[in-house]
Amino acid sequence: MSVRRRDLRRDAVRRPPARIGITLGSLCCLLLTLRAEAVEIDQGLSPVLHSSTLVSVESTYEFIAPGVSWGLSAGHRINFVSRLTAFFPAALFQDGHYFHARDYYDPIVGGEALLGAGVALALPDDQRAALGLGAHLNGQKLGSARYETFYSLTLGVGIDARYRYPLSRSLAMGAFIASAVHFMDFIHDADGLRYGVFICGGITLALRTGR
Amino acid sequence: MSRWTERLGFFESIRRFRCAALAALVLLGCNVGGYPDLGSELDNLAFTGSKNATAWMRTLADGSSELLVLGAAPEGRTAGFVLVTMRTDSTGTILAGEYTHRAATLVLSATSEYTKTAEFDRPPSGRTGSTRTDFETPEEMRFTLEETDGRLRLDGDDGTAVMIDLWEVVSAIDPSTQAGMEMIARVYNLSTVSLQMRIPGFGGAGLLQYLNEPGEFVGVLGGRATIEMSSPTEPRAEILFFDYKDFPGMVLDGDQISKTDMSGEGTLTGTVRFSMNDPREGGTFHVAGDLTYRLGLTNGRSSSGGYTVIMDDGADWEIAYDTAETLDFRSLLPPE
Repeated sequence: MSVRRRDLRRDAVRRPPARIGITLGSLCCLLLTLRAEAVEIDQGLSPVLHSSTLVSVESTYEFIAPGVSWGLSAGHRINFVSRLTAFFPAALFQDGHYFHARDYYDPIVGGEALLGAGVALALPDDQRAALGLGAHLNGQKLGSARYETFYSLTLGVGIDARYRYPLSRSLAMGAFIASAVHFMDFIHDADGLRYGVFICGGITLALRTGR
Repeated sequence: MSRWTERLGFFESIRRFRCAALAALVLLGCNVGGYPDLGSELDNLAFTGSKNATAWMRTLADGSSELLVLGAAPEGRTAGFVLVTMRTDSTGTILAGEYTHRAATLVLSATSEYTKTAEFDRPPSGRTGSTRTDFETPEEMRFTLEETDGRLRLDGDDGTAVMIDLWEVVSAIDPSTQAGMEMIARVYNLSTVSLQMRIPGFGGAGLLQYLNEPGEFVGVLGGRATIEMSSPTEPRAEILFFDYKDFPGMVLDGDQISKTDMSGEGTLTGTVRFSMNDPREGGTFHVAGDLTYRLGLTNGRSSSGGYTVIMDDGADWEIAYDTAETLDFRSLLPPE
């Protein structure tokens, strides 16, 4: 007889060295940024499309979400890079089965943050491209009074690539794409996350100051 | 604004920051088990035949008890069943599903299993709490059944079980004595503990899912109960019973409120109105009253105090927590 059991009683597998490594890496990125010789600040607001894939021991979850993202880079050639994104999962999939989020959950909310360092490339006609790398934190909650609440709080490494085309001296249009790979979930240690992949992209309206 | 008011505001900000920091620590250190299935109902119990349902009980040599609740159904038709196995330390399992009774054969088809295990060796934030397993294919248990004189004899692959009508057991209690009232408190706790087993995350960090997001559960035979948490740093969990009924003739109505710190130290308060009426034809056993909790909690479990029970006839009783919560019925129903 085939019986599917979720054994949630396994001892927690804790991975403190990885957490410490990521924290130290972020601090190094911050220190590198402080050494930058000139500070140019670029901050942009973007409507985004966000995709989360969480692969657990038993299932694969995929969430597609619209959202909004604010990105900041400060520096010249070497940048301090950060990105904060809020998103609202609308289409949910578990092992390929589709769930319309609003039919099951309320509230539905997610957020993520990237903190790291990057390099900027100066292109012709005052165009800019930048690539950042850093620690990436993602949290999601699908709450409900009727269904089991789904929540996750994962940490990993993310990259952020952005492009700017100047509209004026201080205003620019652009786009970004950010991606991250996660290997730990702070909440679901026991039956854990194998890995998570997050991809987010959008069109950006950016303000550039300090040039 | 006076300088003192400003200072009080400053201290309030510090306190809020401390609470937020503690909440982050709680989240970083907790363990709520695996991810739930999407669209997985908090409470998937759908018991059919609850009207005129019967309940049967037996005790085992290790002190644990088994209770079998069978929904009423004509022969050959299906109805709901729950099989509750309760250990003396208030942990156990529930198998739930449907059964068919045809001729002398009883087939139980379990679709879900609820489990509450003892995790007292871990800190409260590291406990998984109660869990539910849904079977993709129902687990079948087949018995030869014989019912005579308030006794249910079940012959299965693992041996023979003789179960007694729950109300034959309960009606042997003398509620006018201290020992009898202690047993009434244990019978009362059959319903509270069976609810705890069915609340995913109960007793562990999984309770965080009810933070400002009440979860609702139906009673096996009627009524409902809700659970809600209102603070992650100073957990306050409130369970409300609304005519909650897991066993025939036993109804709970009221609230249980637990307030603890992060180490599980705190109190359990609240008052629950209970009634126990023998539903059998000609049954005369009837007790009802208000049970007030005044418990101290250590490591997330009762460690001091007890219950104050005021019966409808005016009698009031004090019952120590350990006598009420050690779910051992062997003195009432010896194991066979």
